[in-house]
Amino acid sequence: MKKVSIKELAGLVGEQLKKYGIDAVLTGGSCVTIFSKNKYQSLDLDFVTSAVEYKPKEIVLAMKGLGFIRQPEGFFEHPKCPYVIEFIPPPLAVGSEPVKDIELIKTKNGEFKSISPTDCVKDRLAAFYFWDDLQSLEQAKLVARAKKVNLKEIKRWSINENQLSKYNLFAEQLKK
Amino acid sequence: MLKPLLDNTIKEQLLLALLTGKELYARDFTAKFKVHLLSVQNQLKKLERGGVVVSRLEGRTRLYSFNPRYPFLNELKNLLSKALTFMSPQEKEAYYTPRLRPRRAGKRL
Repeated sequence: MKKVSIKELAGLVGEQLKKYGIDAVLTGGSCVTIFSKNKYQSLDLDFVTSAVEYKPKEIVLAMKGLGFIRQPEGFFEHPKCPYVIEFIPPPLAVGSEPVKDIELIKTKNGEFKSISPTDCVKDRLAAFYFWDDLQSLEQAKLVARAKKVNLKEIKRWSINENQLSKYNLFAEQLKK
Repeated sequence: MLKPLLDNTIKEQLLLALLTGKELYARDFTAKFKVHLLSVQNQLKKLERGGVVVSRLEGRTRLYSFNPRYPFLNELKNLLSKALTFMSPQEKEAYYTPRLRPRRAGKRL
């Protein structure tokens, strides 16, 4: 557990959740780590799942099976693992739109569901759009450079979020 | 007013206060609404965990605001705005008309 990568851990968790009938989708900064091939290092894995509302005990049991213990704050920690795992209630969304495009990622430890690179870029851009968070802008660029993303779709979404000028800034910086 | 939907009066008051005040901190809210700090903190924790609100530290004070990334934010604000229109002017004045302009330090109320 000490040297496990974030991607391998996501596979391990995805496989374990499957055993308990829990459907979960990885989102947030850990997706940036995975899609950018570790150019950005996140320390937490955020899974969106309705099990938070419907099967909370099963989540605790499944994670206990991997050695992760639920902390009073709600997230899960393992004494030897540097990563923190959190389960977030739905909706799985970027800005005001639901996420529909889910990817299945295979690892040597098992498979897990994740938001797509395109939605990962949107997710990071949302933080840049609403909070002017420049770290998130950098993360969006890392993913867009490392993976094939649908810029047309990201532009459409940005317009829908009333953020065309900030999208243009992102697109301009992406070319450099 | 929205208690049948939200199942909690403090949660309703918090959401309405966020709508009208943009940002709030638990102690200030507690003083205004005469409710227990722990109950307020619990509700804020639930709202934050559900992605409805976000918080940031300013000095030693944790300030809460609506999460602009919450996908139902516009719909929620519309519902809360409508609820406000059903409120008496006195209630609105007492609880949901915060002072947003700055106040010089040391100036008397």
